Amino acid sequence: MAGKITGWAAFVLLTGLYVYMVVAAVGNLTQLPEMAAQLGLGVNATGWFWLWLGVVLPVIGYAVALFAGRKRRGGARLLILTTALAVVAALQLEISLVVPPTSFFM
Amino acid sequence: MLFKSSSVSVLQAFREVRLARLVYMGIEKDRASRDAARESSLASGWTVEGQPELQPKVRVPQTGELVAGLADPLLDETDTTADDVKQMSSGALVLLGVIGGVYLLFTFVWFSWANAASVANASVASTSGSLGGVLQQIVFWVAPFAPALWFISVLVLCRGKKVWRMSLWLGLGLVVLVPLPMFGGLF
Repeated sequence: MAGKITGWAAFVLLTGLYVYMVVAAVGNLTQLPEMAAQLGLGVNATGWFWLWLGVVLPVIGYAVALFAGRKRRGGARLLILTTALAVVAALQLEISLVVPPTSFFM
Repeated sequence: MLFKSSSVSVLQAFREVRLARLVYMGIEKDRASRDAARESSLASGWTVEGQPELQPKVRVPQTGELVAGLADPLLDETDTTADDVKQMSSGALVLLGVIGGVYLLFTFVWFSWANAASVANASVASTSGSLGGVLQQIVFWVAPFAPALWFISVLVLCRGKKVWRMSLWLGLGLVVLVPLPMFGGLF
């Protein structure tokens, strides 16, 4: 019972982190164009692509992790979810470091 | 009557001869078998020295079969294949070691980038909400664990599967998790 509660707590925590990543990406998606508009700039196609990728990436990672772990036990499922979270975080970090945000504007 | 008796006697004499022959043959056979027994005892004398070495060789597969026989029903219950009992080949182990080393290198590089990102973000996050800042720091610091977690996940999920399948997933991880900022000069 205690193990079950711990497992669900970990699951909720991981899901919360995924949700935060989506919320943060949506914040970027809505606020960055506003900032650009205030500066008299627009967001170009590649900019929109990277902004939308930030939103879609955690969702894809979450879905893939749930799909990969659908026939597994709790521990393996949590491991897959954590792995996908780490991979998504690494990819977002990579994008933020490799793609200069100034290239989003035109 | 006389003829009969003589013939009988001749037959009897023959019987004697045949008996003698049979006895002789029996003796011969006995001797042969005795010789064979002596030879086999000699041979067994040769194997006496080999026996302590031979016995474990014979016993190891027996115990292995026993273990496999014991483990099989258990494995069936836990819904995994019998390949779990098999050990990895040395080639697979070397492959795992090499790929694991590359993953370790990736982990190191990601840690340095995560550190840089979290420091850069800390100054920005200090002005924004505390919860968002904390969560963002968690997300930053979970990124460096991606290579290690991928490696462990592949090992866990591909346990008992073919080696090429495992190496395929590990190779995919190398492609996905390559720290591109390391080649910053290219972009």
